[in-house]
Amino acid sequence: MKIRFKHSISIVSMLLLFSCYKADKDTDVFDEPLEVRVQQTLQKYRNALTSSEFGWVLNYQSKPEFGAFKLLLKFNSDQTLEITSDFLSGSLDLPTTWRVSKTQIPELVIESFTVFHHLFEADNFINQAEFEFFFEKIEENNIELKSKTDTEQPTILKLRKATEEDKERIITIRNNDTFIENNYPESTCFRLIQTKNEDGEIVFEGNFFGNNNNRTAAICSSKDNEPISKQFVLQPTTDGFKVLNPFEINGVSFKDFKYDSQQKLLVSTNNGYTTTIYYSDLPSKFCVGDNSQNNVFQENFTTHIPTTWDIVNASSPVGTTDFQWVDSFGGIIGSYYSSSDNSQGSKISNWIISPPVNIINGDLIKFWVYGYTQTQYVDRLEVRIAVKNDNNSFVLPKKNNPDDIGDFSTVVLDINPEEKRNVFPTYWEEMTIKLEGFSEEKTNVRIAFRHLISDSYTNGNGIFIDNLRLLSISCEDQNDKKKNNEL
Amino acid sequence: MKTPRLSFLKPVLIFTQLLFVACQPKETIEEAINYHDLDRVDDPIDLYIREKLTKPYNCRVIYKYLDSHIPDAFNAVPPRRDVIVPVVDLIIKAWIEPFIYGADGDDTFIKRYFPPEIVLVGSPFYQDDGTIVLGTADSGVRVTLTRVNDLTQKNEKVFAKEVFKTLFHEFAHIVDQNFNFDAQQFYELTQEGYTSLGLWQNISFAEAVQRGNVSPYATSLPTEDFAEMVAHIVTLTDQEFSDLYFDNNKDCDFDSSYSDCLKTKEGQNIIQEKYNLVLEFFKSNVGVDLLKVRDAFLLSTKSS
Repeated sequence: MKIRFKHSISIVSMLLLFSCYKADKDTDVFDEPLEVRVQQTLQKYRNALTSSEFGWVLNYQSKPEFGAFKLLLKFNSDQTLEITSDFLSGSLDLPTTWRVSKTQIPELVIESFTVFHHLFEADNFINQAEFEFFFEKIEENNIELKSKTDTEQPTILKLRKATEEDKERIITIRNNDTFIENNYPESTCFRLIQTKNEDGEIVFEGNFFGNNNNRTAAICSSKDNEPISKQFVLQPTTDGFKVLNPFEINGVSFKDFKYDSQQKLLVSTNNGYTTTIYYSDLPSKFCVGDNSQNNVFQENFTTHIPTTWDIVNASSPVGTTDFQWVDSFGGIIGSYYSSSDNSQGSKISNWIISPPVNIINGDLIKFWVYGYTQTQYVDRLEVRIAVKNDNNSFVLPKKNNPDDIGDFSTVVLDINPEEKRNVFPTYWEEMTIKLEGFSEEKTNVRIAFRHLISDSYTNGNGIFIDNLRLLSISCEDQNDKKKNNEL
Repeated sequence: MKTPRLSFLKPVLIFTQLLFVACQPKETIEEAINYHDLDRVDDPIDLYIREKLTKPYNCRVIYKYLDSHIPDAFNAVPPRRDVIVPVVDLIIKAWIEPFIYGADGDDTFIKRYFPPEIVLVGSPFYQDDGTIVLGTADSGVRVTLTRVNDLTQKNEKVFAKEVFKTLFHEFAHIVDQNFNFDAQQFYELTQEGYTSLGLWQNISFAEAVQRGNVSPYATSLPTEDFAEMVAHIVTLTDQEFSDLYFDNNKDCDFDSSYSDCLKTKEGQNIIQEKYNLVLEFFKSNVGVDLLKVRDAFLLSTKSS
């Protein structure tokens, strides 16, 4: 028994030595154990990122077909990351931490929500942006990062060591992305692009539509009565913006557009040709299709319900909740109104009604909508129009009277009329209504949103509405509308 | 002769395996991410979480982006840093404190069964087809709380009501796994009224009530029924729950709705029985008065 025990001890000891022999061999070859070497490698990457006193600057273009965002990334040794961007006045340069760690290979992760994540999430991920990266190249003055998530054609981010002036330079241009967006002055609602030759003759004209979320511009025009639509990628500069895939007319290309603050237009000249982008009361005569439509009315429900709107709780029994303002819940669009159902067992008919606006046949109503817990409690939403061209005031639906519709007899949209599950949007979704069957002349209307549930005992939980826009094909009487609607 | 040799080899083999395992993890580059990469001693948010949740309730909150916590085929973004502390406060105020109150001030239950890991995600989990997924519970160990970027000071009440319904549902599963609720009791009450996973979506709310369930999802399985019952008890006022689910001695009209009305009354009676069973189970087996939890939860969200 004693001998067997001794044998056991000997064999176990040998196995112990054998089981760790490989590791010992490993350190013999490499000086340090594997984990230490891994940490040393990761530390090298960390050191590279923190080595630049003023951080790293880059033009971030998530895809060649989208425009560029100027970013400065200052990686601090306490693993905080300071971002300075030229996007939305820096409002998304939020505090975050960064991490260099390993999954399969070393990676850089921006750990909390910032401008990178906004671009990733925006417009249903259309930008194909990213916030997790692999290291592609490390040099003293340059670092290249490769997208981790974009596997088919991974974006390469080229970081250059920043100078002391870079941050200030970005701050200087960060408000210039307003040149890209269509921020129409008070009396206009179209943006045109026009090229003249050295004799002052117009050689090109079209409508210009900018989108700052992906830094692109669409230009629509026509040639031989055929519509032309082209997309250009942009980047703000200190005095305007540049077109990264230059705009070319008659063999002359235009790259840099500078803002003329006196004339309120953007100008680019080359080889005797001049291209201007300017605001106009009328769309380009060369432009056809829906692209010629522009905002004439907008409500983003930013801070409160405007006093020009009416709220009617026509539910019966009335219950405790109707349309109310709630601070930003969807994250993507700002603030909105909610119609929540607390009147259990009642017929819900909650109305929110816009102030009077002028429409003409063919106008578009666009808005975003979202319903809560649609897997369990379905919702329904009607959009109704009341037309009133005489001087009488609009008759609103009566309170505590769910079947009454007042003057709002025209239904232009009915989401989920049969109150079925999985029909109402379960997250923010944009709705577009083309107004048809209305007069070709301007018509005075009010637009109503009606949360309608036949029996809240079985259905109805709450809906959210945001970013309502009325897009018209005409700018006519724009000023009148603005007066009426207190825009 | 054979027997002693086997008894000799057995401990050696086990010991060798242990040694092999002990040596192996540190030698592979493929190991899972080290949480120490996420927790930092000098990060004020990490310190706050450590003091408020990790030390007292043994709960780690993962809020820094970790793609291994995002299910495959989903997209999501991490939370903003400024929402983390308010979310942690809300978890304490609307979840931990109500359960302590429900246990007459005793924090033993919540300390022992509070999920050891809460993952915060800024957005919903987006699927490629545009649909979204909300909170999830993984094996009773991790609870994932999505859409936390939606939380603002002004919408805290709405946020809490919606988000905590999901959380309490998931927490009910954890309680069930640890205290073994006798789901057979529910099954006997509803029996063929249960659908099967995936088919519950064809059930309307009214039909679910007629089957004796508080929601269509509750018809999927007795265990889901239990979790739904807990979530609804805690997040609805007494009046709301009664209006929705109890008979309240309403008479049925002798018209075309008569048969439906009778079915509803039958379902409501079943719900009443399940309601009593759940309350009794929590009181006797778990040591928690669920109605007190509800009162404290509703009070915490009302005052915000």
